Amino acid sequence: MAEVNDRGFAKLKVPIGPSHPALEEPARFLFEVEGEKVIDVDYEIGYNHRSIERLCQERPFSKIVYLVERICGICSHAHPLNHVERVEDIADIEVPERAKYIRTIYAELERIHSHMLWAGIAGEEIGYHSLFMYTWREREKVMDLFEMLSGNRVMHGCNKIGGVKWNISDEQARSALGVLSYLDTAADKITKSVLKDSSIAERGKGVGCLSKEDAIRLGAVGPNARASGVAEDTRVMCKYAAYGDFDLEPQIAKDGDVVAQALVRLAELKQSIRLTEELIANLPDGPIQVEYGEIPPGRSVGRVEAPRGELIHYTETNGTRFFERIKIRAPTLANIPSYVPKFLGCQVADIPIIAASIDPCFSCSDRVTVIKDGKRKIVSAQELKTGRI
Amino acid sequence: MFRARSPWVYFINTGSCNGCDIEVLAIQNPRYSAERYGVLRVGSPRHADVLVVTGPITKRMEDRLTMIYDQIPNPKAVVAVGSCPTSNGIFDGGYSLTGPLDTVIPVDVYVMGCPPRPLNILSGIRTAAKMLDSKRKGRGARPTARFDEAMSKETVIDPKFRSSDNVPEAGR
Amino acid sequence: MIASIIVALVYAFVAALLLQGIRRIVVAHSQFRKGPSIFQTFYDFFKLMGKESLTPNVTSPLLFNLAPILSVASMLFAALVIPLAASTSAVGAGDLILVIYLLAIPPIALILGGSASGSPYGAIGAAREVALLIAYETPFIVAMVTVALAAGSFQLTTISATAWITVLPLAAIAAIWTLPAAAAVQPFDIAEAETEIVSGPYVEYSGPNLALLQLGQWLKTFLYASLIATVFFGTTIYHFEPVINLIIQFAIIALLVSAFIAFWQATTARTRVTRVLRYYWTIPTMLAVADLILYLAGVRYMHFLFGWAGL
Ligand code: SF4
Repeated sequence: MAEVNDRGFAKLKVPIGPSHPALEEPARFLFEVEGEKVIDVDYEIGYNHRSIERLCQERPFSKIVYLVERICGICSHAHPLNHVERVEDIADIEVPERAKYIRTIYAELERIHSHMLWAGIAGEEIGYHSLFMYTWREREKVMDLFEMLSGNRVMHGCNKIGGVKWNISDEQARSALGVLSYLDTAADKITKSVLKDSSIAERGKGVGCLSKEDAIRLGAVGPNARASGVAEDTRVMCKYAAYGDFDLEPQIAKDGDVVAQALVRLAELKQSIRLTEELIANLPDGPIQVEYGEIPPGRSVGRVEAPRGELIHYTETNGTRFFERIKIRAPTLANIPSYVPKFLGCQVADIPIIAASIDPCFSCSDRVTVIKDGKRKIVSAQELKTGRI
Repeated sequence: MFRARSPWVYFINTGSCNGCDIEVLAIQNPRYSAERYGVLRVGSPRHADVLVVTGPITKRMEDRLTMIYDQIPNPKAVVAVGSCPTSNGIFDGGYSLTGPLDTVIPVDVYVMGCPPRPLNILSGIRTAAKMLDSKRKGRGARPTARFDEAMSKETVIDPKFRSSDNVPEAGR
Repeated sequence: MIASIIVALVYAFVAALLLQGIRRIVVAHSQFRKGPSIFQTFYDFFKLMGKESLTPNVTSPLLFNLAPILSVASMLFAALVIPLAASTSAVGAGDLILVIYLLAIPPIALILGGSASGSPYGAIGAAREVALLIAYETPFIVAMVTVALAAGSFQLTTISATAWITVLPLAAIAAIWTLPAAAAVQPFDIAEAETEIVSGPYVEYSGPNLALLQLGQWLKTFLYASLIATVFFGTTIYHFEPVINLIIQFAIIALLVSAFIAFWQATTARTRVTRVLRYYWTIPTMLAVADLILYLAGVRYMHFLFGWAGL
């Protein structure tokens, strides 16, 4: 079963995934371990590939917003937001201010819920169930807020080309402010427990380090890069939606380890809560959607800061009811290469928390790797278009 | 009668969008508190009674799914959570999907919604647990791969291969 | 005789399972949720007994299927040896040593079962279980030996005539400190760490085999706590009707478990295997050794501190 090396340690091959309690989604890591030490890692994604990009070319415009919303259930606002912005860019649709603000409110609430979710999952991965229970209890408040605003907990269905579907009434805005101030204290409590708790420090300090050079070289994005000191935030750089009206500082940390990742996300959590409060307070009046006519042929590419990092959409139209091409680069795909320096030399016990530390979302990023008879095969664009694989 | 009170759940994601996953995870949180009904999430299919499947079945996950289904000891029940495993949902027609869950393994409970609410998922799991008692204690010819073997096998996709044909008769 | 054996076994079984129910409820309440029913462990146990048992292609099927039986059998024997309130010890002189050995068997069964499964998760889990066993047994044995030396006997009935916590409190603290590790709950559930190695040695077990393996672990938690209760709190308090004695003893054990095991479980993250040795070979071992040395040197500090109170 296992070979034994010269120091008397057995070398074991430990598969993690595609279905494993530490991974919420299918992806496969094959670790080679020596005692408790990881000496090699190989990863394989693609279990989650659902042919979304191709479905996007087969369906009329009106259905695509629903489809891109279901690329990822956690970033269920970032994807459609980027998508409708691309179409609006191509067709030169001027979105009303209020719609922009509402979009931003949803985007920030999504960041709040996603970062709380991450804190809970990270707690679960290091075997700290109480942290999971606590953050997920508070997260329910955000879900309630979503339900109040859009009628749904996860899939908000808020974006449409030319604006948003759901307005925010004064009453809703008031109760949202109440929830946000409650969340603010909850975020403080979580931050305090992460900073103070000795068992979290034991499991997180110095684990899964990513240096700044590596982060830049491997193209890490989002909180993963910011935890290593790369001060990049698409919200600040691109000023899409209503972000141009507010001053934002990218939240960074230096160490690049798990605790730094947690602190960056918790700082962003606080930042998002404050930003949402400001957004709600300054909500402009006016319509929430505009009519639009034909969508001309054209192409557009743009970036949005999803909770996990920079999300790129490329959209090409050809003047018909169908898209010529939609290409999505999800943040996790950019973050996966940074797994390698993080995993090498770590302990088996650290694998789950390191895997969780980049906040992976494989459903966003899965590609096709078709394996026929055990041999990998790259699929050509032509084959993809005809669907003959 | 003990079965209905202690459903241990193995949860597998076969290409879901995460929307259903986070709602499945949410049933453990203090508000829904699945443990009060004895619902426990287990890490190994060998310990499970109820298999919860989210997501449309992608081609690459299909044989993992049947392997995991085979590893669960009888009596067992399957819950399909969300529109995706029920009917492929919004992804219907995708080239990388092998179709609804019930063409791959027998399904006992469908929980509809995109995503369903956590309480619906919880009640789906409990409904499945109540069905366990009436299930036949069948013992088919079953592969005996270990969990790690099942996980480290390379996936081979053959267009003609439908592992649904090989599914041992489950207690239906 | 036979009746008392049966009573002792049934008591141990029921108490061990109830104890887990209590632990789960305490943990659930400290996490702001409504816990399971107190009889949840019974439901789990009987459900698993009614399931099909699969033996996958493990390395050694015989060892794989033997380990659960070994685990439970040793614990049932230990239940007869430890003077529970319902019975007296079935063995005479030197039964403390026997009990300490017996209590190490469920982890060893787990190690055997884990290695026999041939799964890498089982192998890593078994290695971790070894480290854990070595770590917590050291302070525990030193504490027990200290008590035995002080009592001048290795016989539990003799030892338990005194409540040793009033004489050797440092040894008592050291022994109680090892409870969470013996119960293999957080932060010491490293051997079955679900998110890391699926569930370690348990990964390939199913149905009755799994139920027995877990029963061994539950019985061990109960017997470990009751050994500590017997040795350090003495049996002189049990001079009521047998039923009331049972209830008192169970209450003491439940208190120990919920205060030390459940509380730790709710407030810490899982530790790393490399840290376990450091957890146990520093303060707890030092406390136990200090007590041993102080005792051998003839320093009766409790008498010195509280002598005026007539202890
Ligand atoms: S049913 Fe909806 S929420 Fe669930 S996995 Fe499918 S698309 Fe996502």
